[in-house]
Amino acid sequence: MINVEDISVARNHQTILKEITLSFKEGEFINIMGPSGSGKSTFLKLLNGLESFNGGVIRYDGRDILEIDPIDLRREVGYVFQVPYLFGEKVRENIEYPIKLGKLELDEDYVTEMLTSLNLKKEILDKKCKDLSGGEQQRISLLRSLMLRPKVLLLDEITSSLDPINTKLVEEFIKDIYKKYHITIILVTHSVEQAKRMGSRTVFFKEGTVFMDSTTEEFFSHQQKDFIKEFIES
Amino acid sequence: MSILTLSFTTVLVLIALSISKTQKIHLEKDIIIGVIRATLQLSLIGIVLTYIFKVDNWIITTVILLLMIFNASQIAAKRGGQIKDTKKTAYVSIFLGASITIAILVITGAISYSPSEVIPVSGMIVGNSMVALGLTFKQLNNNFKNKYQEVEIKLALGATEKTASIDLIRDAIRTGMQPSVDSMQTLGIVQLPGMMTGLILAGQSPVLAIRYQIMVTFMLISTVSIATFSGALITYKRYFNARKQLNRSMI
Ligand SMILES: Nc1ncnc2c1ncn2[C@@H]1O[C@H](COP(=O)(O)OP(=O)(O)O)[C@@H](O)[C@H]1O
Ligand SMILES: [Mg+2]
Repeated sequence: MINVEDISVARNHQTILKEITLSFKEGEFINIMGPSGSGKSTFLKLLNGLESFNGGVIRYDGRDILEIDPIDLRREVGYVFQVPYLFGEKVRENIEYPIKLGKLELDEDYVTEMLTSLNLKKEILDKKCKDLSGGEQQRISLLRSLMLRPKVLLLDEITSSLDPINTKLVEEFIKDIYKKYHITIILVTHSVEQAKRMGSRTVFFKEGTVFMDSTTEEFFSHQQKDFIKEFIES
Repeated sequence: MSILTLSFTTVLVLIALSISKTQKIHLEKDIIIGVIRATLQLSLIGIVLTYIFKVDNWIITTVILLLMIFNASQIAAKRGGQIKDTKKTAYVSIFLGASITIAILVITGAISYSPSEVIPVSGMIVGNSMVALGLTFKQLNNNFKNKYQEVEIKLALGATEKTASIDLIRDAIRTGMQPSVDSMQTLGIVQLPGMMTGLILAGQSPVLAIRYQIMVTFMLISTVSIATFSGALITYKRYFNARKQLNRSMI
């Protein structure tokens, strides 16, 4: 579904990603791990056209990503940022925003169903954004990205500012929608435990390159490269 | 008022100088330079205007107008920081505002396209647009720096560049227009504008002076709104690249 071939990214004469080749199949659930600064966020943003690359090709459903209108791409490939950020005054505006952009009708049943699996009450939609807790804000951010029913969901360390209870809630929700809607999910995480619980494949980035790409089981097995062993144990 | 009387009014400057000196404000040099420059520049423009009014040629009038806009756009552009092509943007925007406003004034017969009417009127509207546009540029830049996250989230949800930044654009236009709107509301209560004061002092009846002042107020608000609107709508695009991504060198 997504083929990344020989992609490099440089900013201010500094190489951020170097000749990355990876491919993701439809319906896969992938973890991306790696030290901070290794280029995980940059890589993720390439996939929905929020960042540009200097060399190589990215294909989405066989089409060169540069030939797809970024807006169409972003509607199919959702992105949730590390820090939850709600805009406007009321929570509802965030949910309706993507719908209005797509000139679609709000599917109340879908929203209700999503809110329930996110363990949120419907009344939350009429609250002011600033009155929500961090965990609630991140769950609403997730729902906001799901309003257009994306085929691919990119999640960038979305639980890093959440407490264990909210983290659990969000993880369960992601697994739920993964099963129910057959979304392709790429999850960047710094948490070893989370990686074990989530994707079935784990890609490890180091200094802008793919250092390892294997099943999650293999990744955490014992015959491991020293660098990863250190990372897991730290 | 004779030249002799005018020279007596330099006493006022001496007051400012002595305050600066005794209170150690260290503005004496700037005040002296300011007084000399103001006197020289105004005297010079007085001679030039006398000549231009006498020649009464529409081409010269237009050239003067374009020069004024050029100077104003150079200054407004300074507030744009690292935004590309602000000078051009400012020129186009002030030109648009000034030409539409002057065209309406001339068509309605409020003024005639003669140098003695067009030049003072243009001076006011161009000067005001310059300040307003500078504010708009600065505010737009601050907004993008402070709110790029919000813009990027909206892009990620499939918004166009304009939709993603419309709140920032509106705020920048509002900021540029605000001083003109505020001063419009306090006209006659807090301030008697310079032009009206000048006309009355020069012996015109207050009623006529006020009639002109009302026209000036309307034309100021119209020019300022056109210039800030155009400036913001041209400039926001500089924050994005062709792939509808935030231009990171700008934020
Ligand atoms: N716009 C940019 N300009 C310059 N350097 C950048 C830019 N964006 C990211 N970087 C650098 O690229 C590297 C990778 O960043 P990032 O993708 O955020 O890594 P990660 O998500 O793995 O922590 C970091 O060293 C970061 O400082
Ligand atoms: Mg990151």
